[in-house]
Amino acid sequence: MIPKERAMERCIRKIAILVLLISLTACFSPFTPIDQDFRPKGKTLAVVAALDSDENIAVAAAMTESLRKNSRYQVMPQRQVAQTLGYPIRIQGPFKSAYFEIETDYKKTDVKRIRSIQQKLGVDYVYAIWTPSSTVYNEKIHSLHAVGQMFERHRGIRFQAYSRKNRHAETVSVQEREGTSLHLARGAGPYRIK
Amino acid sequence: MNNRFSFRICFAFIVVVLLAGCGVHKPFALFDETTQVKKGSVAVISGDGSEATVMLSRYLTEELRQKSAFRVLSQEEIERKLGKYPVDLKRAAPESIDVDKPVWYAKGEKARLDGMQAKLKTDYLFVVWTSDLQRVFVRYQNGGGKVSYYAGILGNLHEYPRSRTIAYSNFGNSKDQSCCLFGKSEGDDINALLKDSAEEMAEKFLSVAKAEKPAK
Repeated sequence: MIPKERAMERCIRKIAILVLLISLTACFSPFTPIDQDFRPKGKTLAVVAALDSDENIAVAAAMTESLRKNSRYQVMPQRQVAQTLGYPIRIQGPFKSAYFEIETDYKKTDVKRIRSIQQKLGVDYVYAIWTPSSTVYNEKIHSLHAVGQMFERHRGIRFQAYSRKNRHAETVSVQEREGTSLHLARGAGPYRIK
Repeated sequence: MNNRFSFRICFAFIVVVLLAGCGVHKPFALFDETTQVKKGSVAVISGDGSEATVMLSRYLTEELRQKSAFRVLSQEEIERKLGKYPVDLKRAAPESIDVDKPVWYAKGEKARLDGMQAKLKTDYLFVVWTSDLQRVFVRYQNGGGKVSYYAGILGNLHEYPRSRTIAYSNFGNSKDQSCCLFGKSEGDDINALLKDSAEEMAEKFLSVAKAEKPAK
């Protein structure tokens, strides 16, 4: 190969790597703390499969196991969560639509239902996870689109959100004030949601 | 130009095949044309928990509430009465489906439908499903292209107290992408497709049942 072609090939390779890196960092957000001053104080946590599909329940189970192995939280086993809540359940999630991709809308989450679930489970944190959309290829799930929110019981509710594959890193926080209304601070916010 | 022309013909053919579902386009049809659909109450049941089916059942409920003389249960009312809703009704194996009188749910699911009706107490359950929601890309050989969405729509009308399936829906619908312009999203396009499908089902159902709301 002549040096000019080699240089061109290197250049194309670099551009490809750069594009890949940009797309990955821009769109993949496994867990985004919203409030940079957030200091976790709770000790107990439960992962909740917020939709009734088999894949959603499987994702919640896998996440529970992972957190049990790798974190200091006391993570409630999925069997106990399922028994307490009466799986399968469906909770309105933080999205406007979810056909091929998730179009997030954090005002849509059924926070009232989440709060009652939190009371039933008696944990400091509820990590609700939704997998409303998947791409199926040859009758097997090729990719799974997920969005999750973590709710804290103390000092009102806060949540961190992530979406996977859809690659939209959203940052949202919710604070409960005066016990009656919820204000959702998003970007310049706040928006009244209840 | 010739390439583009032939490509357009191919695309039109694909769309026609998809829409027709190998020649079938039945937004609503009775198994037996002599069957009388009596006016009464109806509940539109989402046959699975997918986003598309849930939306289709909402839109069909809205259409029937607006246009029919039936008492139509709202989706919220159904959820409240059934407790767990929607549930996945197991679909019949394709080889066991009678082409002329298709019943889309598996035999064992009839008891579940009866259980639902016992709680809802309606004269009819209109069970609906969506299938094969697709995003279709077509690229013209000499540049440009288009994106469309396609969904297959299935339904069965189940009558009570005889507990028998008397009608079906089987058709496909498609819509070109308009998203990303004027703040519209892909979800809006697919919702429009589903709403259009629900409208078509409702109109055909009401004309067959002769149950259009009387003009004021």
